[in-house]
Order: sequence, then C-alpha cells, then structure tokens
Amino acid sequence: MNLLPEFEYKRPETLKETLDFLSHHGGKALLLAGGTDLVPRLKLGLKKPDFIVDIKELKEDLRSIIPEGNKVKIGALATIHALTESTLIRENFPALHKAAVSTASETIQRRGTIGGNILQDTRCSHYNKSENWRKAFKSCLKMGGESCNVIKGAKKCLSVYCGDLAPALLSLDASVVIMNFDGEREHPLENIFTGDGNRPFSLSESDFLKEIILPFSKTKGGFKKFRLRETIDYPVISVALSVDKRGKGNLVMGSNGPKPGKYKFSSPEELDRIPQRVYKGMKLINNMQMPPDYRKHLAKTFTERLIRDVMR
Amino acid sequence: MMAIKMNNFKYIKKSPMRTDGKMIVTGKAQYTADIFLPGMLYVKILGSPFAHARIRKINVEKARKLSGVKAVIRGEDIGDKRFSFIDTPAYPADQTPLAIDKVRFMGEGVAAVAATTEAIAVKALGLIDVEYEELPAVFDPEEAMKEGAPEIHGRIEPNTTTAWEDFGIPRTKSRSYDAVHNISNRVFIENGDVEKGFADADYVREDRFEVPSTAHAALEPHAAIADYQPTGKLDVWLSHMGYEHKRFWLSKLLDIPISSVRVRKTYVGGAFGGKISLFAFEFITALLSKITLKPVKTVLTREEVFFTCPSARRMIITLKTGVKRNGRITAQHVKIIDDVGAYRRSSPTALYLAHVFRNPIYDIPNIRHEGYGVYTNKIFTTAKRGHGLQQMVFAVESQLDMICDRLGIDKLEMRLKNLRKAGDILPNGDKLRSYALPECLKAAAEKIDWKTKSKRKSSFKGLGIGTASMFSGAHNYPFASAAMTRLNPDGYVTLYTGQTEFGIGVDTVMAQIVAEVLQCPFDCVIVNSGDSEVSPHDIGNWLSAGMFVSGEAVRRAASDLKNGMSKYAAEGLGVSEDDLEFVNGWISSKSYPAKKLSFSAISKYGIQMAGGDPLIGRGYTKCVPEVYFWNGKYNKTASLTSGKGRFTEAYGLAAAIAEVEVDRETGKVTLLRLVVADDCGTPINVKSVEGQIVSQAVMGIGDALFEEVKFEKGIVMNPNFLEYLIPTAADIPEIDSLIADSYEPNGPFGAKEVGETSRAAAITAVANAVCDAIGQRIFSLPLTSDKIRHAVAGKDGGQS
Repeated sequence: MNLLPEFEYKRPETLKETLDFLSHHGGKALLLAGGTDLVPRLKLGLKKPDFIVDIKELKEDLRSIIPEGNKVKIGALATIHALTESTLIRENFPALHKAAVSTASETIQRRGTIGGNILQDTRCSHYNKSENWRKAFKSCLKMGGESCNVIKGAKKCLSVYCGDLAPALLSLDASVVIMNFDGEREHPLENIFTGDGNRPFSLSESDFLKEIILPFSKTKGGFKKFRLRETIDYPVISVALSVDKRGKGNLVMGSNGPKPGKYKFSSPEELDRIPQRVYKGMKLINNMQMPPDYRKHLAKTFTERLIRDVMR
Repeated sequence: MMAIKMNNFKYIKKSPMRTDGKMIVTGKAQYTADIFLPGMLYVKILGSPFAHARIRKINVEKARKLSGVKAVIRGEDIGDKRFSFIDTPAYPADQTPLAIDKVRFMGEGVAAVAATTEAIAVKALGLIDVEYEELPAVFDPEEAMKEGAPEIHGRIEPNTTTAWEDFGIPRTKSRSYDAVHNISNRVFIENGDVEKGFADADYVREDRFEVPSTAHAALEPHAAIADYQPTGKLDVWLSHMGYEHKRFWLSKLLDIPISSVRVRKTYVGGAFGGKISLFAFEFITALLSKITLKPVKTVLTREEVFFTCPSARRMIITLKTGVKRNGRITAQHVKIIDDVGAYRRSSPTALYLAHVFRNPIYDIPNIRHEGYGVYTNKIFTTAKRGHGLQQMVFAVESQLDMICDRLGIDKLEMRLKNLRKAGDILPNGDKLRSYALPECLKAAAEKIDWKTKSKRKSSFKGLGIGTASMFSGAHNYPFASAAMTRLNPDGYVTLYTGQTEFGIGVDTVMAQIVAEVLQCPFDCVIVNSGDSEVSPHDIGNWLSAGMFVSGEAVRRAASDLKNGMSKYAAEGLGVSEDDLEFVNGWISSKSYPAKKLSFSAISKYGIQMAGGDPLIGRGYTKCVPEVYFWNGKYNKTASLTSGKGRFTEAYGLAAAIAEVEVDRETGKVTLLRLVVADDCGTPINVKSVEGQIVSQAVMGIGDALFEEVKFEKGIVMNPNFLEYLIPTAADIPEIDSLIADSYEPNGPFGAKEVGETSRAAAITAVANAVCDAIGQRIFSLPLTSDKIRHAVAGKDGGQS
C-alpha cells in the first residue's frame, strides 16, 4: 500500500473556525469530507498539503436536503447515498436521483458527499498515477510542468472531469453557495468550472462550498452513463437531461473534457438537434481508457438514447 | 450439476466445511503482510525509470547516512548471481536480483534499502543517486527480431548449476547461449507429415491471433519476511504456491544449504500460477536479513506488483489449418512468437506447453508446432492458470468457428467429430485413461439448448464453444511428492504434507483423503501443511499437481498408517487382519463386532506393546513414475525443445459454452449464460470443485472481455485495480458448473486436475459467442466494447 504523506490533521468544530483557518492557510490546506477522491490522490502524491481539515463533524447542519419556498437546499456534506434515498429528489429531480444511484458503488456512495463529488479534480491516464510512475514522464501541465504527455504542443490541460452529480445538477440549473471568511455568495453552478484541466474550479483556496440550491419544480429527466464495468468505474461518457413543464431544459454531457458541456433547449425540436451538436462539438484526446473516436460515438449514442427514454 | 455417481464414499464427494474457513472469514488467518516480528526492518526497492539503460554509477552514501537506514545494497554488491524460473542446461539463467551493468525494463530494481520504518526506507530511495545512460529500447517482439534491433542480451554464460543438474543431468550438457536477434529460446515439435496433411485438405486457412498479458491480480499483496539467524539458518514467510522452488533458489543465491532454508506456513491470498518461482524481492529480503541479522519485511504496493512481478505471457500465434469438406482436421501448423520481456523465465516451458497442454483435445494427425521466445524491454512474463494453453486454445477454437462458418458445418458437430477418445495414446506415449471431454461438450450443449439456439437467426445474440485440457502435474523439478501421517495417543491423526494452502482448500481435501482411508471422523485429522522444515518433499501447487501427485502421496501415507494400525489391532484383539474393519474411528472385528479398539487405544498399544512404535505412515509418488534420469541414464525424460518424452499421467479436461448479447451501437457485451463442464475425475470435495470451475470461468470472462496489462514505451499504463479491469460481481452472469465425474485410475480415489481448464474454455467460449453475435471475427483479446463496436461499424459500412 502506498503511504500517506505527512500532514497536520485539523478537526474544526464550527464553520467559522474552518473559514478562519482557510483564510490563513488556504493554499496549504485541503478539506476532508468523504475522502473517497482525496485519499487516493494523497497516496499517489498528487496533493501534498500541510494541513488536512476534517469537516465531517462540523456543528452546523450541512447534511440535510431541505425544501424552502421555491428552492431545495442540499447541504454540501449530504452523502451521495442520502441523495439516492431522498423521495423529494427521486420525485422531482429524476436526473439527479439516477446520477446518484450510478455513482461509483454503494460503499463509496455511503461515504462520498455531494460537495466532494462536485469538486472532484479532473482525471487523466497520465496523471492519476503514483509519484514513482510519473517519474518516467516529464512533468505535465497539471503537475506544474511545461508540456502535456498525451498531446505534443498542447497549450491547455485537457484532463477530464468525471463527476456524475454535476451534469445532473447543471441540467437542473443548480446554483451553489460559496462561503469564505468575508461572507457568502450564490453562483450558478456552471460558473465554478473554468474549463482548464490544470485548475478546473474557479474557487479560491479560502473558499468553502456550503450548499447546492435547486429551483423547486417537478422535472422529468434522466441520466445515463457508459462505464466499462457495471459498478465502481468512472464514466467513459455520461449525459444528464432535465425538462420542465414547458418543455424547456438542459442536456449536459459529462466526462467530455475539463468541464461538463451544457446544452440549453426550449423545445423538443431543439433538443433533437443536440446529439449532432454534441458529436461535432467534442474535442477529445487519448487521455482516458477508451479512444477519443469511440467516446465521441458513445456520447452521441447515449444522448440519443436518453432523449428517447425521457421524451417518450 | 450432473448426477454424481455414488461410490459409497463417506468423506469423499462430500463438501465438509473448510478446515481454515473460520480463520479466514474472521480475519484471524495470518497472511505474510500480517506478520510482525520484534525489531523488524522494512525494505523498499528502487526501480529504474528507463526501459533500457546502462548503469554508470549508483551513489548510495546519502541514503546510508539517513537515520534509521540499516543497509543499502546495489546489484554490484550482490554480484553476478543469476536465477530463473525453469532453467535448463540449454538455457542458462539470465537474470540477477538487482541489475548490475544495465536495466532491461522499466521498474527493474537497481538498489534496495532496509530501514526501521517503511517511511524512512521510502525517503532513503529518494537519496540514492543513479547515473544512467539511456539505450535504444525495443518493445515489439517482431521489431526485436529484425536485423539491427537493439540487443537486450548478448551471450549468456551459465554460472550456476540448474535443479536438473543437481538431480543428475550431467553438468557437461550446460552451454552458453547467444541471444541472436533477441531470440531467447525456441521450440520445434512435429508429428505426422504436415505437407501431406495440407495436400489432403479440401480447405486450408491461415490466421494471426494476438493475446496480451493479463495479471494474476491476487488480492494479497506480494510480501516476504526473512529472519536470518547467526547460526546460518534462514526462516522465511512468503506468499507462494510451493516451497521447493523458493528454497532451491534462496539456497543457491545465498550460498547456504537448502536444508538451512525454512519456508514457514502462511496463508496465501491467491497465486494463480504467478507465485511458484522466486521473486527478486524475496531474495533481496533474505539477503538484507543476512546482512543486518534482523528480521526484514517487504510488502509490495499494487503498482510494484504490476511493475516487477511478471504477468501472463503475451503471444502472437499464426495458425494454419487444413480440413476435409466434412470437417475432419487433416493438418495444423502453429507458429508462436512469445514476447517474453526482459528475461526468459519460463518461456521454454510455455512454448512447449502451448502444444502439449492442448494435445489431448483434438486428434490432429499431422502437426507442426514452432515457437520463438523473444526478448523485449518490458517486464518479463510468466505462467498463469494454464500456462500457454489459453492463448493457443483461443487461436485454435476461433479458427475452427471460422472454418465451420465457411463450410457450413455445425460448430458442435465439427468439434465432436475431431475430439480424441478415451484410451487414446498421444504421440509422446501419454495415455488418456480417463477422458470425458465428449461427454462434457455434449452436457454443456444440452444445458444451454444448443440444438434450438444455434439455429436461431436473431441478430446480435450468439453462442460460442471453448475446450481445454491440462496436465495433472508434470515431470519437472521437484518431480515428486511425499507425505507423512502420525497417530496421536488421543486417536487424532496428524498429516504432514508440503502442499500450500493458497486459497483453494488444499488442507480440507487432504484431510478428506486421510479420513476416507482411515474411516475416521473428518474432524480427527489435523493437517500440518506448507512448512518446509516439517513437511516432506513436495512437488508444489503448480502444473495442477496438487491433487493428483500430492493427494496420492497423502492417500498412500494414510494407507501405510492403516496397515500399521491393522497389524497392532489384530495382535491386540487376537483376530486376523482380514477380519478387521475401520468404522468411524474404531477398528473392530467383522466376526465379533464387540471386539474393537479405538484409534487412541491402538496408539497406546503401539507405544506400550510394540517397542514404543508410535505409528507413523509414509507415502510418496512420482508425477510420472516411468520417467527418470540418474548417472547419465535417461528414461522418457521430456524435452522442452522437441516435445519428446513423457509429460504427465492424467489430463483434466473442460468444455464451455457461452451465450451473449451484444449492443450493436456501443459494443457492450451482456453475458446471458455460461456453462462449464469439467472432467476432473472424482471430485474429492464437490463444493471446492464447483468453486474452482466458477472462479476460473470468472477469470476467463476477465481475459475475454476486460483484462489487459497495457504498455506505453515499456511502462505499465494500468497498474492499479481502477484501470486494470477485473470483472466485478455485477459483470458476472449465471454460471452453471457441471462435473463430468469420470474416474482416473491413477489418481487418489480417481481424482485429477481441476480448474485451469475452466479458464481457457471460458475465454474461448465467450470470445466465440461475441464473434458469433456480431458476425465478425476479432483476432485479439480482450474483446473490449470499442473493438467490438469497431468490428460492427466495419460491417455496417462505418456509420457512426
């Protein structure tokens, strides 16, 4: 087993204490919620924080799924399993329910949180490896180097965002509440994605994702992902679709590049044209287990299938 | 389940609870990684970041000075001590535990550290300064064979004797080896007249198949502990599948007597053919213990296992087959390129086994089998469940399906027409005394309803057949097994066997054999296994020798004890030995049932009345009794390069049929059903046999659809279980295991090999079913969804 690097372990009791700590040590600290994405990265030496801030036991309730007027608020520490169990989510946000059910495996769902799942780092076949493995290659863009080990001359890191929940949340026009020591603000979820695999999120090092907010209205929708095995695996491609009562909504691609791809539509006809746009618009490189052509083909196939299933 | 013939066994053909079951499921069983000795040091090994490079200089001074570091060694400190898996006089060992002058694969060890904690050992590796001169590398075996390709090995001079020489093959036979064009070894086997066979054929075709490396994926991490005593004694705890090979090489490399090496009993979390030969890290662990005189432990990370412990063989097989219009095979010409990687290891065996393992399946009158092992700058390769069998069977059975499609012959009929028969004698003299492969194939076909389903025209559903056969042990070092039994004063019987409990229930089945012979309660047998100091000579758990060879030795050791007990019981009871019967832990007179003695009483009688004889039984057997070599005399000794001589005494066999459905748009395969019928002779433990069949079928599903050790410029691209895809429970269909229950006259209670065949048969059945479903042939494993989708798109005219 790879050893964990040395770090100082902190367990703040309140959100305020956490934000205070982050405002002083933000660059050197990483938050530990479920740990399912963080711990493997630590063991691979991809992250070397001075501090691990365990936020599992914060006094504030950041675990609940609460309807509030025309909104549903989901605390960032709600587990993926809690999402799968929620009747509110199953009945109103089928895309999110299905995405949660198909995330990783049940053991990981019970540990992993919605906040951690949204903020999981991008992945690449040449990056998510041990320090020892990576020595055989040059330091890549994501490791702070000058060049990409997959594509010669690449200017931007194209590592892939593999989260399952974000595409579903984006299809529902979710927003997020970000806090730091100076206060809190609400942003559309898409605004936190930069599209640069090297630094996939626009959050600053002292920012804290507190909750996710969904407009409370019944939608129809779905989520499909293609994975190589029937459980555990990250998606080769994923797609989420949510449609409101007026026939408007979003189709969102996942595992398609450094950030999910959101396609807005306001009529079924417009929706039907999306698969072709998805196929034409995807620029993939050979940085995952399956070749780019096949991933593009799957994106189109799964988009068509999902539309057929949901709109039938 | 096929009906199991009842033969009035009391403990055999039953499924008693595993003797070690409670220990394992409660976490009490100690695997090597679980063992901690006082004052223990931890080892880390520094691997090369280059696939091919000259080592200019290794500076270890800074590492040595780090507090907590107790020893640092380099290749030059160990010297030119070479080892291999199966070395023969013709093929001298070509590998050193740590690289000396150059590294030949990425990850090859160049230096090792022993420190008081693992963290310090890791830190120390970072302080070792290695100066390399990178050399041009070659990764493709066909490129490596070309004129002007980088030379990976030059001339290899023998510098140590082999096990064969130690056992009597004259030293004069050993010679140096020139690896011209990077060819590490070759095989040429010919039976019949191949040219005439092809001339007689109505249809001839030639195809090329490729099988990549797959990993053993044993869940227990590779680990070793060594504790060298000042007296010159070495104790080791290893994760292994047979101690004779391990101690042979440890004694040779450390230059200490083989009897000074004690391999201790451990639980082993899976081996699958990958843990019989010595690993470099095991020797390094022992050496560091010898240097520091402290117990020393190495536990590899999963990535280190992928980097430095060999996976299964990579083969390119060109296959030419001739058939009559009616489907009878007239000739076959096989050409194999075995991409051995940086070191030769067991390639000479694998190339020969690729022929001789599958030899009992089809009666092919004219056959030529040639093969070349080729060095490349990748991690070397080794045996995995059916060493060379599954690669060969995949090629042969894939091509048979193509021939059937072309000639319009039913695929089941074609196979039944060409199978061998019980009683057949193979060209080398091996006799098929038990042979239920036709019955297996028919039973599997009936179970899956071949008759109806094979005529179905529904698109994207398919059926596929696979077959396999396998030795029940072979005439290789350590050649034979022995066992001992001991009667205790409380009536319990202790068995001493060198068999290693590596997860399959060896201890349980050996206890069943003893209980059956002595007709004593199963719980009264205590098994003491896998400890080289306590157990007698043993062939090990490889080449499927465990049951057939060691099981027979155990049966004989129990019979020997029974004879001794009968003698004293007759004396004690005053009846003749013919009048005695063993019933439920008692020995009684058939004529006067009231006259009886317990096992406990017999033990006490022996000690008191028979000069202190505590009653000890011994049994031994050779894998192939008629083979020997001694003082320059040989009898039927097998030749790896020409395929002459005797191989084994009994063959295990299996047939599998799979039904699949393919998603034509994505290429995703859904396995609807898999039936595996296995001819393992008598199933000593029915549940264990079913477990073997099902688990090996699952391994086969992995080979067929998911698994491949991928390389980019010599580095393993998927050295973890997220990227190296083992099928999960969610990917496994209903698997029917059928037991043919033939009777092998030379095996213990009629038993022989089980398991290895199921894997090979399942791989081919699944692969053929997929190709049947899509109407296209895919010539390489695994049949991943993108490959399938690509093949389907080709047929559809490339529409996305």
